[in-house]
Amino acid sequence: MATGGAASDLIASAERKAALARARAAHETASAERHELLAGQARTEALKNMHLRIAGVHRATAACHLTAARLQDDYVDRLTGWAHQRGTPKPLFMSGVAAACGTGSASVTLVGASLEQLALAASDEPSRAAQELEFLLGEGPSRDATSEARPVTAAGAALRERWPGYGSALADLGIDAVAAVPLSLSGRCVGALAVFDPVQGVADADTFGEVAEALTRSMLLSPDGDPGLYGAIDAYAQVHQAAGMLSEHLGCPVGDALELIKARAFAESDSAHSVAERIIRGELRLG
Amino acid sequence: MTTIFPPPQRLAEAFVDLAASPVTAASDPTGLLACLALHGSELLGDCAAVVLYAPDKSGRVEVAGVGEDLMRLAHSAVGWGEGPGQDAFGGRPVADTALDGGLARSKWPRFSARALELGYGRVAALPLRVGQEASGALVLLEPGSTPLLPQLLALGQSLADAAGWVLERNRQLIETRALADQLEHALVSRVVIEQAKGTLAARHAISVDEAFRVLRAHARSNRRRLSDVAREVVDRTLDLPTG
Repeated sequence: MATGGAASDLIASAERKAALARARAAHETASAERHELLAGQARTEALKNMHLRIAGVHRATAACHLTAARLQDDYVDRLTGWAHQRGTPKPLFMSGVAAACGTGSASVTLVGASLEQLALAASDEPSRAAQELEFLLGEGPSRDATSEARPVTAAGAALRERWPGYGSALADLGIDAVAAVPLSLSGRCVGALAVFDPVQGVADADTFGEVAEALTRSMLLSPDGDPGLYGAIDAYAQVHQAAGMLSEHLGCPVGDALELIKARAFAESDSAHSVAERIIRGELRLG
Repeated sequence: MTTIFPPPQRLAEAFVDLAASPVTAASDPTGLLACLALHGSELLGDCAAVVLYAPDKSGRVEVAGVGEDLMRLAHSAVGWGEGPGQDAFGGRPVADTALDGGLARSKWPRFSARALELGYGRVAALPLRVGQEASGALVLLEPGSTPLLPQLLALGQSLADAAGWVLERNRQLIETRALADQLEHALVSRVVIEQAKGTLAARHAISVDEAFRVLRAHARSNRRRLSDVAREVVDRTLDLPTG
């Protein structure tokens, strides 16, 4: 997985990915046109329908590659601006993902086979806090989007009804609406994209789905992608180190130790990172 | 030959058949390539059809078709490295050609001689396009000397395209699965390694950085994967002495 680097390296990498995505879109469009032409020449309905169906899939894939190219363009713009304004925080790829979804707050969660959260990336502080809540509580929209393999939306009172713990805590963060879509390709789901408080009318559920597919195709499950999202993905390294330490202290399985850390963090309205740091420094012993 | 275009119902069945066929080795009579060869023979007048397919970049070519003589001819053509099928691998169709003509005899001397012996008079080949490249060909052989009609060749190309589409989707599926497995393995390994660092650090009262050096040294000197060693440390089936 790639790590963060100098602005010029990141710009070059994003430009390369944008060019690749455009080439793929062009190829898909050419394939669609070929099948549309063949559909026009078809002598029977069966032939015509087959070609139109294939053309439709190529058109949809082309649109997805173009969205992927625009996400890379957006990141190049942000990096270019940053290169001229030293001292400001390094721009995040996720900021462009959020913007494409009509919000400032979006997160990506990557999950394993048993849907455990393995890595996370967020565009801003509210989305990072919301993601932390899902990590601590084991319930929320990203988890449901991956387990049900379909989009999930909830707003207002429905948040609390659907997820009693998560919904209340989310309201405390000042977030009123959430949408999550699976990050999946060819029937294989690797995580979820969650969007918080999207501005009405700027983007819709179809847009979220297309951004999610673009992310999956160009970054997460592409031979020339970057599942680390340009060094922004957080694998909760210290939390797992602390869980290992705690399991040794208590003689319990590491999974139980991780749950103890999460429970402590939630009870103290603290982050898992912060609890983990205290364990690693020897300042906190749980159990 | 019969010049009647197949009825629409029959065509629709052929496309449904192709879409539902499993992508297996060409030798599998229930697989996609055998299905393409079969429908090619049945739908396109009274010609015979064979499918050549290169599943990967190794140069290996698989053959599917009906009839012993025909299959032997196709296998021989692959061995000789000559014939209309191989020519269509470039992505351009090979137009209807007389097997006893000068063109066929000069381009495919062995193929045309053998095909003539078997009673075929004309041949054409249509590329089997999979994604951006032609990965195979549908070869049509016509007994007698009547040329293969353009509208039937167009239909043959549509059959080949339908099969190519199934092959392309299958290729994408396999690639996606492999990438998803890799990603998950990388993420899970990372978690286990961090856990092992913490476990070892607590066990031997050393820093996590020192614990990582111990883990890595053990994995290197025993030529084992770091994540496997880490897993055993976390499961307490392996203890690593520290210097």
